[in-house]
Amino acid sequence: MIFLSADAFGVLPPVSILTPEQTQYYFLSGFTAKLAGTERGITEPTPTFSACFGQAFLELHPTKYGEELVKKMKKSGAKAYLVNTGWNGTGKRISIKDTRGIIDTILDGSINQAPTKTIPLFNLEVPTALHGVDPNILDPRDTYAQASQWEEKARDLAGRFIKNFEKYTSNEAGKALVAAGPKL
Amino acid sequence: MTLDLTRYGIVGVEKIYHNLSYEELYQHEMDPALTGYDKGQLTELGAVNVMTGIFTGRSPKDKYIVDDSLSHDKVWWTSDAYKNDNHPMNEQVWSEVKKIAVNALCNKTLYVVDAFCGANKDTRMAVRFIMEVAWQAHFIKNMFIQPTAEELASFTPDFVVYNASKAKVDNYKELGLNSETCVAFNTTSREQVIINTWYGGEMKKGMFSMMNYYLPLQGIASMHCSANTDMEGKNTAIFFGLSGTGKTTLSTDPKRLLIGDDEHGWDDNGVFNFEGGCYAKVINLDKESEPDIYNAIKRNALLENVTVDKTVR
Repeated sequence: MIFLSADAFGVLPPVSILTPEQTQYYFLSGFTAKLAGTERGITEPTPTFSACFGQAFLELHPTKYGEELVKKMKKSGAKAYLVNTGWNGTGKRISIKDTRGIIDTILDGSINQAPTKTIPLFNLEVPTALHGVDPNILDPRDTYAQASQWEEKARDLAGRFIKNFEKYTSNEAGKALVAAGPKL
Repeated sequence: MTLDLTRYGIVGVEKIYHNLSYEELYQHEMDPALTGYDKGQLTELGAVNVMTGIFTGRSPKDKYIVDDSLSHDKVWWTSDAYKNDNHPMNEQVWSEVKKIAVNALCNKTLYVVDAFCGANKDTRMAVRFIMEVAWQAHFIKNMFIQPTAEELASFTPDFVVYNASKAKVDNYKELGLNSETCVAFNTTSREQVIINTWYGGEMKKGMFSMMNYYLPLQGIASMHCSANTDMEGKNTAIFFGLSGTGKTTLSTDPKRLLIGDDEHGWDDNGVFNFEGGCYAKVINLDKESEPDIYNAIKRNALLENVTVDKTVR
């Protein structure tokens, strides 16, 4: 299961390996940037949160879709990954070639053998080397001239995730997922 | 046998073109007598291009769900605390907008397309689309799953879509609606009306919304994602993301089999497509980086809102 986010902030790693709790958290958050041309009035990339990566098409409460998905995942043993197809510190969009390389390592399972490290604030597990992928982009902090520039943007984005998730914290199940999200 | 549309309140129909072939649709959409947005334009690669007017995307502010005793406790309604696109519509207003759509389709030459939404036979929805524009029929034929001749012979719709793109809700203020445009769903009578927008995506995403309503209530996951699998159909991947994040691009991988690019269900037998076609952005499309999409632009494909060079098309 792959969550594609086009991160206009340049904060998220090109690929993260998600825990089951993070899977639910990022599914309900549905973070992405809207790109030009699909809805009236949207012409520039704008960061947005769209529940279940498709809030416009949900007719039932988002947690209902989350529940059904988790049931199917557990039953089939599926794994989940968060892939940023958007931007990084270079100001450019991550290349389709690198993204395809990442997807290939997910599909052949080699990503699960790769050495990993944890990205702060978001607590995301990221591989440090993947076959066919530029190693200099795997840790987004490396794409900035100074890591502090990443941290500043990351704090901003983390705050937006936390604020967006407040709407799910009215019940115990939602509250329990807060720990899987970014922390300031 | 001519289809009887009077059961839908559509009367005085001049002619009904029911489930036309691609060749017939091509002749109809390229008819030189057509004007305005009805008109198709042949492109260099053989695909027909159409223009959808001011609506080149969905119109979420004009989307309504009928709030009745069955839907009231199930639908995730928009609220001040958490805004979404599920605006409630009462049953009286629904009957008014349905009347507008039905009246707009009376005394016309109409196209009717019967198609399935959902590849799983047990849970698929048999949908009848009624409209007056040939290319809209072509859009349906491309995007939804085409029944076999046998299935068409015994086709009983579970859901009916009235596409009245040429009509307007003149009295929208009186009805408490947002504009002259209206896309409304009745989950109980299983009908959709589309008024004053030509954008094909309202029909496609409209049926997706309905699958998103009916399937999770039956314990089936319904997902806005693309999906592909290996050559044995064993190692399936699903890609979530809003349109424009790479769902279509990344799932079209020559080493793997595409299941679908946008809407899927997941039941105990696995992942299945809702659709029978692909709907991709073609802006700045490059043959090298996205060969599958580029190569799909040929005869029988339909393009929306592409500016076509007058000399080389």
